[in-house]
Amino acid sequence: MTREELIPVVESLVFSSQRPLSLGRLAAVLKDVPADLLSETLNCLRADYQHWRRGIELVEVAGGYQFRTKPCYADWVGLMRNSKPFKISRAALETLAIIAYKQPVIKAEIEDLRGVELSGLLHQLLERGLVRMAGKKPVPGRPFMYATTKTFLEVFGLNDLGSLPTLKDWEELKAPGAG
Amino acid sequence: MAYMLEVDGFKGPLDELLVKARKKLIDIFSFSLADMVKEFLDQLNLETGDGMETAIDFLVPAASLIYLKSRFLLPREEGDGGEEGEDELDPILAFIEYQRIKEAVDSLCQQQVLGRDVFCRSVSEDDGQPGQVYDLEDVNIFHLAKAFFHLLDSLGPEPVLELKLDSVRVSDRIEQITALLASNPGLNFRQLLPEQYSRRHLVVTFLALLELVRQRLILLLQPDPWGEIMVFPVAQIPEEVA
Repeated sequence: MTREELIPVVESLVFSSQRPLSLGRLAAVLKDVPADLLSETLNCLRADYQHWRRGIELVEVAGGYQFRTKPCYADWVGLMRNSKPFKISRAALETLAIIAYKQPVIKAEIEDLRGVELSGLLHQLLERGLVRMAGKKPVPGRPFMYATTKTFLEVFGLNDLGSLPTLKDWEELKAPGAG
Repeated sequence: MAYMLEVDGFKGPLDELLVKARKKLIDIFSFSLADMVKEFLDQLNLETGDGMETAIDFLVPAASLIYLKSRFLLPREEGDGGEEGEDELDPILAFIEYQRIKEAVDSLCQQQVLGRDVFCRSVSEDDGQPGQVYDLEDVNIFHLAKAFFHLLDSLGPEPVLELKLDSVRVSDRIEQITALLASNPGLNFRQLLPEQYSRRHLVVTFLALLELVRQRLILLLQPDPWGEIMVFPVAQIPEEVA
């Protein structure tokens, strides 16, 4: 298949996928297509959608590709949708940020950092699928450890945890504690 | 905004300097902290109160930095482990860490948030399908536990069969019946029972009657099948029966 032929195929696959479609998944479907041609095709497709006459764009998120509305049309889409817009409290967001940067992390560590009890925040985040339980820590009491989910990446438009903002600063901060 | 610092060999926010100083990535003796404070005070307009916010952010890291430097300058006492000194700085580090979280939160908020700034196709919402559909990949122990406890809740409280032990005994009933018959020439079975009676009460009463019959103290009469059972003391057998 040529690149021109491949573009609509890839487009239909990404469109029909419920969750972000990973390159691996795409390659599994399009077995005979070399990987570099595939990513080239995706780049072409992305460029196509950047056109001002398009309301959606191809984004790379949570390790896959997904069509999303362009941010500038958020108000219009919001008018149509009955569901409430995504809302999250500052406290929940802080908790989420701590989990995102320090995962896997136990409840006590989060509380230490925030200086207040978490109460229902963790449950709220678990409920929304932003956070998951990531096993138990082998310390007395065997507390649950928490980590972020793929949904977290999707919601915040991140491709992977490495693309978290200011992670570098964080790493720098972590180092003296470890040393 | 964090206070931006520009001194010899370093340019950036103050708390970053503190982190670097602590990691000994930067020579704390290479520049004058007094100059740093002076520069800061120059920037701060005390009369108008401008930059007060920045001043607040400046104070703790600056104080920690001065403290850190003073600690290095003083001769270390014997037995004063390095660990202890590290511990003293931890609250400051925690403070900086918390500042970092706040920054992280801000930058998370600035992302194109799905469902707020950007949208994707969503089957479960737009098709009006009831219930939440989970991708199998995303199902974890939390969902499993939640489903289980939800199921438990939906079962409602476990049905409890409460058995009240009726304390009524055959011997007691015998006494009561004899007492009743002593003042009444004849009673029917229903009259022997209180207004509210249990099945046990009924059975015990019947057993008591049978016992009284066996002892030849009473006589039972049932005029027709399924009819009322009449109870007479033996002493007062109605004539037509006798």
